[in-house]
Amino acid sequence: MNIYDVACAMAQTLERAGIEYSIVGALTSMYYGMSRNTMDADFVVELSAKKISDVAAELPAGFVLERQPRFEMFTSKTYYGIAVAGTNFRIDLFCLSDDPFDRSNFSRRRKVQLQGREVFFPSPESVVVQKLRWQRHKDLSDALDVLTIQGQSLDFAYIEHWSDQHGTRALLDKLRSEIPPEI
Amino acid sequence: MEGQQPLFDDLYRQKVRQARGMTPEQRVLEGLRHSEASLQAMADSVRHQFPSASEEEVQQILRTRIEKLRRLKGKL
Repeated sequence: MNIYDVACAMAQTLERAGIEYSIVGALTSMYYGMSRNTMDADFVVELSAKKISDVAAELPAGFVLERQPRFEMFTSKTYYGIAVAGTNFRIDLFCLSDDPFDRSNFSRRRKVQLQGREVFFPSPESVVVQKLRWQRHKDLSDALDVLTIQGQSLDFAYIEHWSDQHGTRALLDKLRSEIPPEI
Repeated sequence: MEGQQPLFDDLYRQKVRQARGMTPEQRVLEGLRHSEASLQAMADSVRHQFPSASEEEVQQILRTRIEKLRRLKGKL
């Protein structure tokens, strides 16, 4: 079982529990940008306290849900961790917030097909905006990769709108200037 | 480091050309192969450092190291 199998099993669990989700994080950065290492499958989920028990009830054998949610200081997000027995992989379910961009991002998610399985991913524009917002080293590297690989197919009006809102427009412009011109 | 910038630029261009020659699905699968190889290398490193450790102990040390990496990268 690889991390993508783990992510698909989790997606199916959420669908059975009737919970809307989008896979986020490294898997989506790779899909729109470049390959890189990961041992985590991150999801954004529309989840209430009651619903987490529905998720727990639907989890496959070996998926162990942490009882208490955690709070990620860096992104100010609440999330539930799930360990997967027999692997070093981890799933984090980040609760969808009321933040306007988070809502916009979630509304733009789309179904993509990988290895014959359909799962929800964010749009590439959302990946760039979110990465610019967080600005960790890996985030900026991912944002540059997505900008470089997706090129002019991106909806830059959307990216620029949210970058202006978040005060990250200068960073966006800097990354765009770093795309090697001859590629 | 400044003198090495042309090398970094060339390496990045190579990576971009490679990524553009792949489908989105192939990029994800390639990343998963990298990740599994990295895990294998980390486990081999633990076995080398602790030759008398049982496989269970190796996996426990590996889990601890992965957790430290997660913390370092901003999770938790």
